[in-house]
Formats: sequence, structure tokens, C-alpha cells
Amino acid sequence: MIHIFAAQQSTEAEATGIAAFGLDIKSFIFQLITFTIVVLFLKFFVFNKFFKVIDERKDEIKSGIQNAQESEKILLKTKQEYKRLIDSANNEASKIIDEARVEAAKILKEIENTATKRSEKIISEAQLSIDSEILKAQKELKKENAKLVSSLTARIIREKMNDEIDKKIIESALR
Amino acid sequence: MKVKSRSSVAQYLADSLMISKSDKDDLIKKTAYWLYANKKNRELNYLIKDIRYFLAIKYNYQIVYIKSSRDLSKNEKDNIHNKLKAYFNTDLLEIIYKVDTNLIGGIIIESPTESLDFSVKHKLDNFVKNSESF
Repeated sequence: MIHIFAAQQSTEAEATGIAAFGLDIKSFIFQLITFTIVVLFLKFFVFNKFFKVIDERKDEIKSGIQNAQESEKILLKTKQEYKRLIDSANNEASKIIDEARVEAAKILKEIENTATKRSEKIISEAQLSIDSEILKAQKELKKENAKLVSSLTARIIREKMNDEIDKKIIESALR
Repeated sequence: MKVKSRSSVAQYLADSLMISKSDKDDLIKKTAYWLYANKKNRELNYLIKDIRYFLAIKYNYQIVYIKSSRDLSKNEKDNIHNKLKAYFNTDLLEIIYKVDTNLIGGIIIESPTESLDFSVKHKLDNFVKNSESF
């Protein structure tokens, strides 16, 4: 409607000055004021709110990004800490395993040594016992043998002994 | 009252027998009483041994035991008597003969101061001992 009205007025002022360019000053001013009002209206009632929302959103996004970055940093840091802890735990575990292996080898060696010593001692004692038993048996055998020989000899001498022989023995003793 | 020792009693009895020539029956009675009173009945053999010892040491009175495997003949006994008289250099010699068939042969001479074993059994025992030590 304003445009129609302006166009009508421009047709009427066609003849002189600026009118020669088809520009109606009144209409232009009127449009300028209208435009300014519209702009101010938009500025105060629309754009400010709009930009405020945009700014808030922008701040939220920025804050979100910062949070995300912080989270990422924390995550990275946590990952690094986790890795460090895992490495440390691995190292500690390896160390413990190595120590356990060394200790186990040491204990095994000690057990082997003890078992060897014990078995050697048992063998030695058994050998000594056997030797002792053999010696004892030999001694007993000798003793029995001597007794037997003595007994047999005594019997033979008794059979062979007579007064004459005995007399000679006594005379021999008294010399 | 102090109890006299066996040794002193033996010495007293030896002296009594040799010097005072006391009555033997009376000495035997006294000895028996002493043994009984002092509860030393079991020491009779040791007392006799001690008397023999004092008689031998102090008076050269030898009481010798001779063990043999058989009864010795008179000649053998005389021979032994003479040999021992010469050996101990004494006329105071009393020999008591015993028979022990375990000796097989030979004799054992036991004086109060020494013992000499010339028996066949002793030689056999020595043989057994020596063969055990090999």
C-alpha cells in the first residue's frame, strides 16, 4: 500500500529535480522513518533477544567445547595415569615374578641339597651299619668257630689224654 | 664298741696260730662268733684268704691249693711238695689237693700271693682268645 501510494506520488513529481530520478522525497523520508522504526523495533524487541539467545547458545557451546576439551585433557591425563599405573604394575609384577622365580630356584636348590645330603647320610649310615653288622657277624663267626675248634680239640685231647701224658705235662710245668 | 675289720681279725688269727699256738677249736669258735655278731657270715672265704695271705707274708707259711684233672699219685705229690718247698724257700708248706676234671690235664697252683695255671683248659682258652683277636 505504501509502495502504491509512493508510486502515485512519484508519478505526480516526475517533472522536476530529484523527481526527474523518480524519487519522491516525502515518500523517501516516510519510508526511511518507517524503516528506522522497523529496524529499531526489530533491534529492541527481536534482534536483542535473538542475539542474546545466540550469545547464550554460543557461550553454552563454548563452555561445552571447553568442558569437552577439559574432559579430553582429563581423559588423556587419566589414560596417561592409567598407562603409567599399568606399566608400573607390570614392572612390579615382573619384578615380583622374577624375585619369586629366583626365590623358588633358591628354595628348590636348597631342597635338592638337603635331600642329597640326607640321602648321602642315609646311605653312609646304612653302609656303616652294614659294615658294622658284617664285622659283628665275622666276629661272632670267629668266636663260634674258635669255640667249636676248642670244644673239638678238648674232646680229642680228652680222648687221647692218659696218666702218662698228664704226668709229663705236670712235670713240664714244675720245671 | 668299734667293730674290728676283717683284715685285723685275719692278722690276729694268723698270729694266734703261729705265735701263741692257741687252741684251734677255740679260735674257730671265736671266729664264728665274730662273723655271726657282725653279720659277716658271707665273708668267711675272704677271711680265710686273708689269713692265708698274712701267714704267707709274715711267717712264710704257705697254704697252697693244687688242682688237677685226676687224683695225683704219691710220687707226684711228693715231687710237687719238694718243688714248691724249693720255690717258696720254706718248710712251712701245706698243700690242699683238689680234683677238677674240667682241667683236662695239667695242674693249677694257687698260693696266697700268686696263681699259676698250667692246665690244658687254660691253654685251650688262650687259644680261643687269640684266635678271636685275629
